[in-house]
Amino acid sequence: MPRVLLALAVLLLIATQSSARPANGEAAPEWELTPLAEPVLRLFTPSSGAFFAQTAQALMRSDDAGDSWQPVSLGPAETILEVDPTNHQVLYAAGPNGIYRTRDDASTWSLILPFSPDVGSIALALAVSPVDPNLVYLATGGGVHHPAESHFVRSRDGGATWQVLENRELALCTASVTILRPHPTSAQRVFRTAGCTAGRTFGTTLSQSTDAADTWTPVFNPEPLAAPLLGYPARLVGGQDGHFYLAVNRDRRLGGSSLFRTDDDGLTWTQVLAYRGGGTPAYTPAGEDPSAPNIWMGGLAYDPANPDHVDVGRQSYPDYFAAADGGGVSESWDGGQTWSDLGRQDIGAVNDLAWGIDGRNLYAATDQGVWRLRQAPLDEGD
Amino acid sequence: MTIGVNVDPNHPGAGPSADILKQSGFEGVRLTAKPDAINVQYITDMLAAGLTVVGVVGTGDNQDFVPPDPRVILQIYNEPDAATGTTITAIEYADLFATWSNKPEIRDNSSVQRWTAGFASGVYMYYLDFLEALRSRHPEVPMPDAVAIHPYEQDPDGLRRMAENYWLVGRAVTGAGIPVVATEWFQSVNPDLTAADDVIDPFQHALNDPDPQGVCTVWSSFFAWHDDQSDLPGGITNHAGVCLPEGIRLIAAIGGDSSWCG
Repeated sequence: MPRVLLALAVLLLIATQSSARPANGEAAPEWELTPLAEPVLRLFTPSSGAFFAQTAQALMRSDDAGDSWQPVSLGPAETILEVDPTNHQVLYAAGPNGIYRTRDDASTWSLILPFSPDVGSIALALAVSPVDPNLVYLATGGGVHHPAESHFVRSRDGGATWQVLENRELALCTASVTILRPHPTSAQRVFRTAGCTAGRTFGTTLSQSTDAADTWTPVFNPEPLAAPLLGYPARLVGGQDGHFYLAVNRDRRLGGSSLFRTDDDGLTWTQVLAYRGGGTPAYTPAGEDPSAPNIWMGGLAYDPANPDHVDVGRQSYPDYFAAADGGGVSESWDGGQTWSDLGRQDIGAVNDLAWGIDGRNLYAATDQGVWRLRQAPLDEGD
Repeated sequence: MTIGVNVDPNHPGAGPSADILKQSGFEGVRLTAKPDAINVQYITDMLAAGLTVVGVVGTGDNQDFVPPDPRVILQIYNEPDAATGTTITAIEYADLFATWSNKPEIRDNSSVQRWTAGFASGVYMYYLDFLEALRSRHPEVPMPDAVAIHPYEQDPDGLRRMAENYWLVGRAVTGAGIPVVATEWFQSVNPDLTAADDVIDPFQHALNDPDPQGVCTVWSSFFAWHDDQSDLPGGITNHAGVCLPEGIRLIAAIGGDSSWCG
């Protein structure tokens, strides 16, 4: 079966499996810490199976829904960038010399893009289209000696060849990419939030390309300077039937975060959740409490089969300079109209949230490790 | 009081000539001091023209370069308190400030001025922690010649409060006080230059002596000369060299002549 058809079949399979809301009287599910009990930054749930977690130093893999974990060799590379969302045997990682790829379950790694003046010296983000896994996007930067430098390149053949699309170097700022997300059902569409942040920035724009990154159009916060209270788009989920949720963290000087929802493919956005407080006395908006903890959104998970079901993972910062000291997860079953805490809230600062591919488990990557929340079995809940 | 502007001679269109700067009313430039030939020559040209140069050092792209001319004011690092890629603790910043201050070409030449990095958070306690760490961990290092702030997204009253807090911290630690300078600031303006709602002029006057209310008695520099130097949608000029509304407003506010830019 051609890979595109296989990917569509898997997506269809996933779309038909909905997360299950506990029935009245049924015991509420609870978080349990898996054996991976160290800070975890990011989760990968490719549709073909396997489950990956990125820690500060390594990539870990579980084949039993988090009951056990094994390290994955990155070969000459150092940092995992992406797992092909359709094929868990294909991984992309960054090393000191460039971008590496494995196609055989991390048995062998190949350098597919050496760093150079045209493509920078560090990787900022890499994303693979779930519709066409040969379509790969890569954002890079100039590293410590050129922090304001950024590049954007694209491969249409799974990393065999690359086309440089953007090169730029600004002044006195640090290039960053917080969102690089291909559309789940449209190969030509991809979303990106990229910027060069410094004291002068209070937010960034979420842009969309409909021509595989040749051109970009703002879809959220088109003029960050004019709307400093909006902030920095941090997490984007959705895409099915025009539904998206977007988590936006305000500048640390202002404090707070917001969740926005669109049901018209990004034409209009509605705020459905807001945390306020934190920031610094010189900047905290009137009516908000600078002494309150600053709550940022670090994880966002969404059920494609039930767009009204969304989960938000939080990070709580006690003051402007401090590291996060807590978090938790909030959940809505009505598209964000009402929210409730999901299970125990002492699971740590949430860096990522992801549903298992069968919709039975929700996973949280926190500064304590990978937590798992088992939902009711599908045949009982649905 | 010196009024400057942030430039980048390595960026096309962002390295204005000394003549243009003077005609526009600017008396100095701030830039990252880099060892490349273009940057070194630009600094030389500005100094030769009698303009003041503030060179940002200690950043990654500075590559430990010390401008050879002691007239260049050294601003050590950039925005250590910003929640961006430059964040370091106040103690780490004190150590960095001391490392640079103890470089022989700086330590042995008392005429070299050393300014703090531009603080961007408005958290003046960071500045206090820095000064106390500098004094306790590096007692051989003189106090900074100025403390720099980046008062973005402030109105004139907010700027005055911010500058006052930084001034009070410096005075509490040193007794005599440490001048406050603004090494980056920006205000977006109404593109309709006939409109009366100008924000550049009142902010500029809040910054600068000899305005009786001016809070920065040594230096202020607008960010940036060219709108492609940053993600900010503004500057003195755009990529075509045409003055932007805020550029025209600022040049007027400092008594300069913008006829060169149409």
